Amino acid sequence: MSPNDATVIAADVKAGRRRAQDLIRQTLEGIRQRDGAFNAFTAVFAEEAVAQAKNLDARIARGDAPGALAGVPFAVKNLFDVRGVATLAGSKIRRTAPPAACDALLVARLKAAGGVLVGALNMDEFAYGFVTENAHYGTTRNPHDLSRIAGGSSGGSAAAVAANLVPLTLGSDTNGSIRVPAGLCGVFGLKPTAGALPVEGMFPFVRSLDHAGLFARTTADLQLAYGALADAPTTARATRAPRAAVLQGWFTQGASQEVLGALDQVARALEADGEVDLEDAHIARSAAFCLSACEGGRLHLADLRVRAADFDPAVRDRLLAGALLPDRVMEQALRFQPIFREAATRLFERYDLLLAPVAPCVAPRLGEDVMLIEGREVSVRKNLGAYTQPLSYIGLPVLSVPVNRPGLLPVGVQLVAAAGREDRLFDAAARLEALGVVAAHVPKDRHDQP
Amino acid sequence: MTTEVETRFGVLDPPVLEAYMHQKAADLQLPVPAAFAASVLETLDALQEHTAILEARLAREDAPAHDAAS
Repeated sequence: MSPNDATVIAADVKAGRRRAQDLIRQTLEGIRQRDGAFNAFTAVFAEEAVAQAKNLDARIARGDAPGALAGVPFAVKNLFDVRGVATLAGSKIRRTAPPAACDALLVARLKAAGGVLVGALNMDEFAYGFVTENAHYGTTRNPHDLSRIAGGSSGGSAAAVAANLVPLTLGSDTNGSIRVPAGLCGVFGLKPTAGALPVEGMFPFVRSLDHAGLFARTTADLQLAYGALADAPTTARATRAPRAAVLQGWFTQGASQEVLGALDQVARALEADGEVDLEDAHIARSAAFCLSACEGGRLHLADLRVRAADFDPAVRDRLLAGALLPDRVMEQALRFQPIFREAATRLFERYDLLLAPVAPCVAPRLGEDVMLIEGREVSVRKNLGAYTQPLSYIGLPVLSVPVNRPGLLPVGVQLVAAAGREDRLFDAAARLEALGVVAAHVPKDRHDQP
Repeated sequence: MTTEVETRFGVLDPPVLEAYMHQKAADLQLPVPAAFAASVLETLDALQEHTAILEARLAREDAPAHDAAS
């Protein structure tokens, strides 16, 4: 355990061993000194954070219950509403949007639990991407190798946790936007079951597929925060070792040897007893592609008509193409959802957990359009989400765990459970952590520190 | 034109796809500046491939019902 873990901070603040205001000032100073290298933050709410922390200290001094996340600093992807601030969603267009009238529901819940909001985080424009190379707010760099991407679209959320700037962040995941950056940055990322976390006050990308979720450096931190956020936190408790199987076919096709090696480490630790095929995964990915383009294009049609040049070029052309798709494509993409969900449900009759890589490779270099995987050239933007898209398409809960590979670049593995069984994800991740098979990577600039 | 071509979106040849893009954009009053057109067309072509994959699978889904009817 680290003194910077959310669970440790909350316990210390509740017990009066540390003051929230001191912790928050240290956090703000850390962001000021170190974030220049990563570009994870697009805004820092210093005055408000210190005021909230002082208020919390005063409440504790009066004997009030401070909440499960007492004094825990957190930050949010800049598509979450923060009262009094324009919700950017990574865009230039929304700089002039009216300030949000109230906090997004999840931001409000974290604050109500004693968490202290310290800032907003960089992302791909309108959450449409896997790289966080944002034309308006710059590139977020991977804390483990500054010449590489953090992944996206919640790249700032992953990098801020990976760099140890904050212990907890909120992100969103439509096609893999929590799991991909979590995997590339070596932290834990939870995309819960569709609808398990409310999305009120979260700027939409694809309403049919949008999920809110979390990043943290330990399973315990993730579980603590999830308990404070969920409408109905899971009450089921895993009581035995999970029956696990490795997803084959689409989910390992094109993966590098080091990714497959990391997947094997996790599979052996969980004593996975099978390799299974999730039938039609590639079709689910095509459906998710089409649905994202259709809904995204239609959502931004008004701005595309009059100010297309103000969009990030990497996003604009996909939104334009999506707007031009026939309506029937969207209908078909939605029609396939129950068919594919049924195929997944059949697998969960035999297994508690399914395992798959997060991405086919380690973090690509900045600005790289094409990456080499086992000697083959493949498109970065098209392939980073290949293994994540089919799973979010049917709303399954997935926890991306960082495989413990000291000295090497991070690789993430997806733990996938049946809808509503986040307990199985937390249980498996905790088992893997206890075995030393998964652990948040330590950034190079923190190796020498106690 | 758009309606007739739209029904075949998924299998349009490149020149027809380009014509579709311009017609649909005009219908939607959505300018596609020349500077973006090639990239938009490339993306639309990729989406066409995904559409074809999806439709082929859904056609399989519908096949038993058709067989039964015949």
